[in-house]
Amino acid sequence: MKVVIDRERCMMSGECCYNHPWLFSFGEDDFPEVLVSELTTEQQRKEARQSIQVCPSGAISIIE
Amino acid sequence: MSGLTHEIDPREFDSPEFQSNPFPLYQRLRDHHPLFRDRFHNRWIISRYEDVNAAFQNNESFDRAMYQPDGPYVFGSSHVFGPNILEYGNSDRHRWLRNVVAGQFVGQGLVSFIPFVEQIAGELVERCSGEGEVELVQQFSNQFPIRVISNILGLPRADEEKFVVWYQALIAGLGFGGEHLARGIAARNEMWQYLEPLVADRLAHPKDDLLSKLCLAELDGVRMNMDEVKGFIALLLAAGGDTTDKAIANMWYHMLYTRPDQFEDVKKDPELWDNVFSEMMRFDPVVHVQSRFTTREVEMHGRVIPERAQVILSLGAGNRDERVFKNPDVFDIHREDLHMGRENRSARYKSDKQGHLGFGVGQHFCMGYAMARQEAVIACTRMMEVMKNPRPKFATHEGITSPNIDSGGFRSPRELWIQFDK
Repeated sequence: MKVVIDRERCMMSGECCYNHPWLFSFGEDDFPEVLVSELTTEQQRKEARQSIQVCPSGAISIIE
Repeated sequence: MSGLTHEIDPREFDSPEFQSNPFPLYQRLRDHHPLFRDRFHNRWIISRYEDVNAAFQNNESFDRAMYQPDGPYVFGSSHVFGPNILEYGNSDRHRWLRNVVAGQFVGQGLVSFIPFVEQIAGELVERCSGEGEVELVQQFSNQFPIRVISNILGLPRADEEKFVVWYQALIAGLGFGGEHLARGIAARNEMWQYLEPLVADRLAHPKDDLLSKLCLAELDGVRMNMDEVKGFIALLLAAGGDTTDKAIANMWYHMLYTRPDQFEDVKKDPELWDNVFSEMMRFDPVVHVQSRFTTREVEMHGRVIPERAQVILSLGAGNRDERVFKNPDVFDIHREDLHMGRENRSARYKSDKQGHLGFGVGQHFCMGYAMARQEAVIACTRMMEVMKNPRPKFATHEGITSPNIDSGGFRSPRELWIQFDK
């Protein structure tokens, strides 16, 4: 399981980077980058789902 | 005047002139004292857009709370709020507490609550539309956001009136001090007594509401204690109620008195209320200052701010910075150099336009930013649908004021009478 970001939809709000700094950080072009390639624990998956909730542009999703 | 006219006497910050019109002093700060050492109040003040924005984003150097080397956080409002999320500075605990509720105020959580916001706005507008005139502050804006937030929490609708009263006392206590503070604390105590059985009930029988979420959320297997839950609720009432309440009044003030010409545009196209909100948040937002404490020495404009010093981030001044916004002292809802839509916590926008600093930026960016905008725009739109041809009752107005913007008293009109066709 991993997190992906749709750069077309992303509006660079920064919510993901501030709320879940272990999972996202601002890239050089100000878009967020995903730091963890594979979600291995239940806690990680839970926080990933939270990040989907607080993304104002709906740009984050989880894929198998 | 002598050659020393640019000198600033710190007592100017306590003057009635500054409370009613802080902008000339802001300009002197930006132009001549971009880093001002205020020895009288023992603090530093920064005022340029770029500096304020950078400080908001620099968590390593600026903390929301003062951390005593040997003790707990100190935060000014604890005496009214009790322990709350703001006290936890830049810590993981702060981030965790924020995440407990953040989902409620943005994205799907917000969307699902909008019909209810519409309903409450509709009820209130109905209630104050019978007479052909309304005093917006008391009859509408003072009541609207608090009713919304108490319903998001899941408090009984029958008790909404109680919350309106407690809320008004709490806010007066924070803003004015003195006897108001005593009444504010009394109201808080009443509210806390009222909340205890509700909290116990949610712990035993969780519902699908925010109060249940607050009660049940766990960090490393530990829940918030009763005091923390209550403090959190008091904070939500104040932070989520007062600011939006006054924002609505400020929007109407500027349409009625500052730009009646642009108000005509809004009447033709109510979607422009979104722009009114953005420009109000830039031109004269409810909150003008945020306070930070340095965690280490910070060099700025050729000087050094020592560690553990209080620094005032004057966002009200930054928003009027001519280095960023053209004709900054003109209220213009069609402004092309301001990002007009929903704000970003990162202060970065795809359009490359600049955002206002009214919600702060970064780690402590207002959590209710999306909710506030939705509430304000829905309220204004609903009012204009029902109250036809709205116009000021009085030709002149004392303007937007503050009991004391310097210590966190919020800026808004004391009263705002509007007449309309029945």
